Amino acid sequence: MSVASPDAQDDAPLPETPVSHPPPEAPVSHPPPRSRFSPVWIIPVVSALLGVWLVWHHYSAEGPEITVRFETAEGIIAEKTPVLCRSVPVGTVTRIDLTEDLKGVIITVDMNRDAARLLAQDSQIWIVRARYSSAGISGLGTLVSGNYLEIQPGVLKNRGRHFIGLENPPATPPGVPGLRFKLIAQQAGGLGPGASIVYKGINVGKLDTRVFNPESGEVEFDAFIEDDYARLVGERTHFYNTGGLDLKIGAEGVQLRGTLESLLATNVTFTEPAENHLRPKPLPDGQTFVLYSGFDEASKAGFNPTLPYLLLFTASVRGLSPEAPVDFRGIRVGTVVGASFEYLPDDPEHRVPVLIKIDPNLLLDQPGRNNTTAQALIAENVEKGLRASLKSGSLLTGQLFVELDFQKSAPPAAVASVGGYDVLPTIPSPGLDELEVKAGALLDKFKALPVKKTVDDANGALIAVKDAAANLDRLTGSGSPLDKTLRNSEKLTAELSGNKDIGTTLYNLRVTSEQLKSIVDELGAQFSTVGQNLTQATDTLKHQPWRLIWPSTKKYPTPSPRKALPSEDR
Amino acid sequence: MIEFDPASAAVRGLACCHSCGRVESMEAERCPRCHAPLHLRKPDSLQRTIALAIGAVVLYFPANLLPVLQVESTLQGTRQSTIVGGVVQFWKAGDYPVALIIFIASVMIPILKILSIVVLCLGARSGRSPRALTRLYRVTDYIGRWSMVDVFVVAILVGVVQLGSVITINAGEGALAFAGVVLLTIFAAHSFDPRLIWDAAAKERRHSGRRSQEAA
Repeated sequence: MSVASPDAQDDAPLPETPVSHPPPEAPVSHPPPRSRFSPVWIIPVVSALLGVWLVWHHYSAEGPEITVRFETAEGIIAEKTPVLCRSVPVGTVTRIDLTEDLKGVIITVDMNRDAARLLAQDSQIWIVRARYSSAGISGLGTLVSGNYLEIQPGVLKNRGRHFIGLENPPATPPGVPGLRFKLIAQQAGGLGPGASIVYKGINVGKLDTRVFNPESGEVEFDAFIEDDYARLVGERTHFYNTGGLDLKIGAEGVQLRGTLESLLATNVTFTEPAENHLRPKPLPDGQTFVLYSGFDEASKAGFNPTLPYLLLFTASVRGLSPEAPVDFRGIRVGTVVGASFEYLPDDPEHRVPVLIKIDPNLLLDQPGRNNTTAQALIAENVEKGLRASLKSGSLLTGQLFVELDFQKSAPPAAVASVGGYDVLPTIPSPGLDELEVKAGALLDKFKALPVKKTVDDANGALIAVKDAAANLDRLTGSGSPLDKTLRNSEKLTAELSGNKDIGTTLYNLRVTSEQLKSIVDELGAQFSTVGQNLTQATDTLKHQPWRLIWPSTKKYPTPSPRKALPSEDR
Repeated sequence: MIEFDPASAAVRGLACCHSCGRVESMEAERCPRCHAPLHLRKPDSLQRTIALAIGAVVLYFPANLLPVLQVESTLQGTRQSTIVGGVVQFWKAGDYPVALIIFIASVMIPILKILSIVVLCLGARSGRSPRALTRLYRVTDYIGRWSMVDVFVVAILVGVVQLGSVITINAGEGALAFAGVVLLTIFAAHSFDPRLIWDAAAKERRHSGRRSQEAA
C-alpha cells in the first residue's frame, strides 16, 4: 500500500531531507523532527471499525436466542429444523438438550433479527408434524420436509425468551376477532381440538380445546367462530355433532343423513331458530351452549337441564327410566338422570333417590345459565307448595315421569340438602295411588257380590223350567188328559161326521171342553211359576252378569278404604 | 534518525527508484525514467508497517470467530462454519491432510506473518542479527499471497454452488474479515523496507565501535 500511495509520500516530510538538501558529499545525520502521524494509521482504525461492524452484523442478524420446552423433540434436528411463522422461516433450531430433571427437552432456537417482534410472552410454539385428528389430516408436508416448529405471535407487549411448547396446535390466538364460547357435551363423540364448526357446509370456526370436567361429568369445548359468522349464533342456537352417518328407518322410509366427509371428520354444526337468522350484534364472549350428539337430539331438546335435584320416593319407581321428562303442569322443564341408591347410599328409610336435572333457562324470564337464580326461585316455590311426584305417563307401558306442581294441602317443607344434592320435597304420587285405590275398591265390589245366591237362584229357575217342561210333556204326551181330549174330540168329530146324533155330540163336546178348561187352568198355574223363576234368573243375570263367570261361593269382607301413604316431606 | 553506512550509496546522495530500480541522484525529485518519487528509504516504513499489522491483528479475531461459509440447504437447513470449525470437521472426518493444509494456510500463516512483521520492525530498530532478519523478511514476503487460498475457495464456492432451493452457499462475514487480514499482512510486509535492518545494523556497529573507542 505504501508503494501505491505517492500522495502520502509527497505530503510527508521526507526523512531524508537532511541528506538531500546538503551536497551529497556532506554526510550528515541529524535526525529531523517527526511529530506528524502518518495517515497510514487510518488503516488499523478502519480495520477495527470493520471488525466491529462485522461482529455486530453477524450477531444482530442472528437475532434473539430463545428456548422452548417440549415433552419430546420428535423429528427436531439441531442446526436443521426451521421455525416458521405462517410458513415464513423466522429462525433455526440450534441445540437440543434434555432438561435437568430429564422430563423434557429444551430446544434452543436462533431467531432471525426481524423475528424479535414475534416473541411476545404469550406467543405459542408447537411442533408441526403429520397428524390425524378430528379436524382431518394435517402436516402431510412434514413427511417430506421433516417436522418443524411453528410460532404463533402473541399479543402481549412484553417480550419472552423462554417458552413452553404446546404438544398440539394451539387454540385460536387471543387477538383474532370472533366469538368465543363454551360447548358442553355428554360425549366427546370424536370431537377434539381443531375440529371444524361448519354452517351450511362452510367452515365458520373451530374447536380449540377439549376438557373433561370430572365434577360435572361433561366434556367441555372451547369453541371459536370467526368474526364474519359470529352473528349467526344466538342464545337459542343448538349445536350438534355431525360425525358419522345417521341411518333411520321409519314410517317415511329409510333416511340417511351425513356425507362421506362426515365419515372421515367429525364436525360441529348448528341450527338457529328462524326468527333471528342474523343477530344485529354478536353475542358477548363466554356463553355456554349444549353440544348435542346429533341433529335429532338438537331439534328435540330445546332445553339444557343443568340444575341437579334429588327426589326421594318411598313408592316403587319401576317404570321411571333415565331421560324421562320432568314436567311442570305438563311442560317439560327437566329430565330424569336416573334412580339409584348410589345417590344416597345410607338412607335409613331406604327411600329411592331419583336424580333429576332442571333447565334453569326455562324457569327464568331471561335466558342465561344462571343456576343460582333458578335455585332461589325453586326454593321459594317449594315453600309455596311446589312438590314433586311420580305420575304415570302411559297406562299401557307403565312409564312414569316426574311431575312438579303446587300442592295446596302439602305439609310445609323446604329444599334440603342431602348427600351433596339439593332435595326437592315429594308427595306420594296422587295419580298412581288413586288409581290403585280405585282398582282395589272395584275388585272388592266384585268380590262382595252374592254370586252363589245368584247362581243358586239361576239353578232353581232352571229346575223349575225343567219341571214345567216335564209337566207339559205329561200333559201333552200320549195318554195324557190333553191327548185323551184330542182323541175324544177326534172321535167326536168322527162320530159327528158318522151319525147325525148332534145332541150326543154336543153333549160330548161340552164334557170335552170342560175337561180341556180344567187342563188349561192347571197348565196356566204351572206356567206362571216357571215364568216367575225365569224373571228372577234373568234379573240376576241382568244386574250381575259376572255371576256367570265367577261362580264363587266364597264370602268376602266388605272393602275398607285404603290407608293413605305417609308424606315424604322433609 | 537514520544513519547510513559510510560505504553506502545513500551517503553519496544516490537513491534507488522503488519502482524501476534505477539509481539516481537524490537531487531529482522523481525518477527520470519512470517518474516515480525518489526516496532513499521507503517513507514512514516502520510506522506504516506497524499500523497495517495492528489492523491485521484487529481483523484476525472476527475472521476466526465469524463464519466464513454459510450453506443453506433445503434438507439440511442452514449451516454456518468458521475456519477453525472447518478444520475440526475435516480432522474428525479423517481428512488430516486437508485439515492440516487449512490449519496451516488459514490459521498459522497469518499469525506467523504478523509475528514476523513485528519481529522485523523490532529488528529494524535494534539492528541485531540483520542476516536472519533479512531471511525472515524474504520468507514473509513470499508466503503472503498463499494465505488467500481460503478466500479463493470461498469465492469459488459462492460462485459455483448456487443450486437454487436445493443448496446455496454464501460468504459469511468471517470471509471478509479474513480477506482483510491477508491483505493487510501483505501490505504490511510490502511496506517494510528491509534496508532499515542494515541501516540499524550499521548504526549499531558504529555505536559499538564508538563505545569500544571510548573504552580504549
